[in-house]
Amino acid sequence: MTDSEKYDRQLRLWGEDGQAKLEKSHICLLNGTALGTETLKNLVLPGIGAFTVVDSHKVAESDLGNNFFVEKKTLGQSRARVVCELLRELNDRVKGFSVEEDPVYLINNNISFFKDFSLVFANRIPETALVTLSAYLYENNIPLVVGNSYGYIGYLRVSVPEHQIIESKPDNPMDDLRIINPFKELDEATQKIELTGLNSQELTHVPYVYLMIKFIKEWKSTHDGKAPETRAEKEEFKKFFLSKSPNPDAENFAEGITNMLKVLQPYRISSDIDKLLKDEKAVNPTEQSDDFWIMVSALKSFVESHGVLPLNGNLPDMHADTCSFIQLQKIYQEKGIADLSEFSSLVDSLVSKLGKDQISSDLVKKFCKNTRFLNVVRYKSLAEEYEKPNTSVIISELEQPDNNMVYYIALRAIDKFFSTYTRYPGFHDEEVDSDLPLLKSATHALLQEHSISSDLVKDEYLAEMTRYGACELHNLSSLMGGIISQEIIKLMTHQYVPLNNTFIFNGINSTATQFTI
Amino acid sequence: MTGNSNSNGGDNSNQNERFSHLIETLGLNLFQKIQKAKILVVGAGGIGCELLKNLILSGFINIEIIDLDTIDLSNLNRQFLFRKHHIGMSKSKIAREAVLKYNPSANIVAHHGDIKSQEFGPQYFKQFDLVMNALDNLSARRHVNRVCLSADVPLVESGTAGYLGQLTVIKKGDTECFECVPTEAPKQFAVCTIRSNPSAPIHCIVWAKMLFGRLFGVADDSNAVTDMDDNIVEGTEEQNNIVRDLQLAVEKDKGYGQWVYHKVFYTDIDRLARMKEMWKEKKPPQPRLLADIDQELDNNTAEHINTAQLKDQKVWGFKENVRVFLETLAQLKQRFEKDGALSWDKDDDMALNFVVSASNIRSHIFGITTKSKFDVKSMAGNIIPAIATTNAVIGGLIVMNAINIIDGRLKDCKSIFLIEQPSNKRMLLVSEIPKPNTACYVCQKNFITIKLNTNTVKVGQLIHDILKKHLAFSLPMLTVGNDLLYESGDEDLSKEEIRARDALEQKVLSSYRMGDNVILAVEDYLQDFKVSILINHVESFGTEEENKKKEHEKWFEIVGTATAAAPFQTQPIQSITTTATAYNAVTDIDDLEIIEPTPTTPTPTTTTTTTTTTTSGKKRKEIESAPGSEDSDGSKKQKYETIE
Ligand SMILES: [Zn+2]
Repeated sequence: MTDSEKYDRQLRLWGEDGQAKLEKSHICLLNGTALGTETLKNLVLPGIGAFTVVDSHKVAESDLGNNFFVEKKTLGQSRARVVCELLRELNDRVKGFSVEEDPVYLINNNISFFKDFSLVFANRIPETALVTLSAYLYENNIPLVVGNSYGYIGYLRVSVPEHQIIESKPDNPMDDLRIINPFKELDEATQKIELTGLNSQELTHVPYVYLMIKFIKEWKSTHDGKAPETRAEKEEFKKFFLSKSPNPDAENFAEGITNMLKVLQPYRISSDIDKLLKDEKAVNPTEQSDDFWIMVSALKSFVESHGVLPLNGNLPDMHADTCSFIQLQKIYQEKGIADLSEFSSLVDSLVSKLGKDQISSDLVKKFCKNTRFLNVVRYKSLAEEYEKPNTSVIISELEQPDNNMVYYIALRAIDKFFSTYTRYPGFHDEEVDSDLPLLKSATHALLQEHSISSDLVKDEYLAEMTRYGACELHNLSSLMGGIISQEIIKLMTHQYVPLNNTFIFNGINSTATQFTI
Repeated sequence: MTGNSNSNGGDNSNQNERFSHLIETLGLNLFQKIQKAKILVVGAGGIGCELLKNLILSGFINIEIIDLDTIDLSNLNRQFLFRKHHIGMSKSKIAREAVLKYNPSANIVAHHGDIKSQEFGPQYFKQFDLVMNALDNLSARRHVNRVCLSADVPLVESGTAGYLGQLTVIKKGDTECFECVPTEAPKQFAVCTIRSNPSAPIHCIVWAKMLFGRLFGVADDSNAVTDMDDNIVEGTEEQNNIVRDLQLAVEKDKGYGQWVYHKVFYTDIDRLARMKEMWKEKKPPQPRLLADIDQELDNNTAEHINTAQLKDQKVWGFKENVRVFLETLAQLKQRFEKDGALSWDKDDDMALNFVVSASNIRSHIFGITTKSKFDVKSMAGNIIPAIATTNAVIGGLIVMNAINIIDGRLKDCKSIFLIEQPSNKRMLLVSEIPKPNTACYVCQKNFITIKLNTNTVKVGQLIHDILKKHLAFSLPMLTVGNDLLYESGDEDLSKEEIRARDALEQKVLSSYRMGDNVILAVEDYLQDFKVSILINHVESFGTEEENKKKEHEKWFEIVGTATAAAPFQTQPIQSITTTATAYNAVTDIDDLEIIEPTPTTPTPTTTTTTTTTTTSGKKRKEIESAPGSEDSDGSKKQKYETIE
């Protein structure tokens, strides 16, 4: 049982189910920097299950200046242990562990250390070790999030081979009403209603759903059995519909007009869902298939026999007398239940055919109610990005003035610089001037490797990055920590669609851009 | 400067090393400006916590915090400066202590007080280089906007709602002000306000709707309004000091009505009343046994209500509410058993009666004004969720803009809107801050026209519904020509003065020198804000026929403020492309806007705006010559504490 009083606000966003997923997750943080702890802060507060901090650094004076989760009295102590203890104070329901070890050492010598985490968040890990880690996590389908807070620039990268989303929660989902293609029960109920027998008062209390279905049918009978399709036909239908209204102010008729264009749309399964249904994993389920794909496969059978997705069964509030509203609500609810039970038996038979364990009825139900909003995101691995980045995107972005892509290139070049010199450019004040040409040549080499003109990255940006000397500002880390933890919550709850795949925040002009590189 | 105890000879070099990140990135010159700057943070809630942390770790030293609230359990999922053992304590004080650890030599002053009180007028604001709003209620935000305009101090304005957030900078003459684009009246409330600490009728109405859902709706785990079998009123299992209400089981045996009544109006209230921390500054709620009510006489206001009023506009007495509650409870229970889950519908009389009676009983228990069925019907609400991640992003952006301002680069400040799903590859929508709206009655014109029927609208309606509710005045003072017609003040009034004011408020405008074409000057000295209002008499708005169909009859119109944009919920993200619309998009999380003056039952956690009026020229003179002399018992309530 979750602490519903303390978590009240967030439960309204991601529900008990999202909360349960969050409480099961164990997040690993590599390096307890300000960015690392600010990100964890926003995950510990809403109550992830556990976190582990891996860090071999000792708390330094500069940590006191930018990291909220160290204290003066802890100077010189293990940063992993110190930040772990202070983060744990935020929420007594969350378990915290610390490992005083260099993450790079673990990656190179004990990579299976990472196999049981739900997600790994890496920051300030040298490129080669990061690629090794990424490959291992990718193989095990564990999400990797890479973050960096570098002077005024924030960076975020998400990578996981396949991320499945049942509740993508789009901004303005359409109601699943099937007015244009009413199911049998809805059609029958509509036919039973005799509008001619109603007085004008009663007529204004008929839910617009009935009115629409009735009048579309009437329209069809005089238009070769076709619903209004063209703009002109829709205009004409609007007049026809309004001519049935007992008075110009009838709210139910007004609702019908408001929703007219939506409900006249021919029923269609979205291309995203169609793509899922045609996915190899849906077409040929195997005993290796996971629950999600088994359900997609069952959904495919459902669609093949009905031509439509299972009905969601929810009826939005609309103008009507209470009695007819409840009656209509019941029709939708019951059809929703019938579709669910048919879908469930399709899932059951597929499961037993494949010799798999039963899928919990709650999960099947949730899936069935959300079939319109399913989503699968497939990310590139880091190795693939570094080898074969999406150069056309990079070039077209770089060609625009003041584009944030330039910072992606700069940060990648800084990683190369670090691999060569084992320090960040400009880290020592006296080396700012001498490091700049070195960073320039690292940048040019990187661009050349991918056949990108080096003119596209102006020196002034590299000079700016060198001036930062890898400094981390608390405020920028706090902001980036907010953005990164938000994406981690999306990944852990499997709700909403996380960004794909790279995000740059520019603190100089407060802009942010997402790239698929 | 205070709190130098921790500094020693070598601290300066340590300071510089500690802030080496900042000095290198910002440069020493800007870092020094930051160390000199004086910042006011209004609100120590979700965004406030982030701000204080970010400010301290960005090198700011001189900070004042104002917050009226105390810490509640439901704050802890995001207000990270607070722990469970802080529940019931002052947010501003605890926040100050928490961040002071990170720079013991910082000069942080915490005020546990109301931003709208006299203490914090324009003179107080003038000492700051910058003000940051981290408020969740609209009327306070409008208030701070006006004071900042008056004191000519730049203001960073912000708000969050779920995954959405926004911020902008307001600088007199250079940018749009908070009121250049009017916001919709808010309808959202914090859940702790609803469940434990109601202070306005709407809070009890939202609670009653939740109770309806709990008892008769589709099972919903997120509806935690009450747990019907929980009889614990004090203590925890760990501490082994549990106190139970054993009467609950007895009442349950008597019947469904008795059980529900006892649970929500006795057991739950008793549990709240025992939380001593919560009731330090106000009267605890009074649990009411059903058995006691029969003995009582109905001493409600019903008698002196004009009998000519519509039946539904009558406010029921306490016993009447209890009777209706038990009656509808039984009826709804029957319907529920026959038809299954019900959905609340304001047009369903039984469901409405349930909410009217339940909310009024609760209001009575908490000493809140009770409402007529007519009024209850028009009031409804939702709860806007709040989470750590959004606050972190917005908090970071605010301090980023603040540093621009301190550096004298106002032109680099931006209006920013954070959206939940990246759209068109963008997660932050950034735009230039718009110029002031030349028609804005707050920062530009100081002139509006109000159309109403001067022969039917009463002075009280003008003061409370129009000036306070719609135009956000805190303490309006009305003059026509050289004559003072009406003055507000927060001193305690004598009974005669209350009666005089009540009588004046019952007068129609035309009978009190506010007829057609009169120019009325309305001034608020707390906000240092003055507006001229031209009164235009109109007989009615639309035909009677039209008005009948509408739920609220329109009875006034304000001309001279821009039209309000669509409310948040109906606004598709795609359409948020300009700051003008974005600005309206974030609604309030916890609005404690009290419209009714409640002189007889002051509630200290809200603004207790009692209103003083004058009815004769002689009296008026006294007030003019000696403001503050109205303090009848000579004692002023201590509302805020200051820690230095
Ligand atoms: Zn303005």
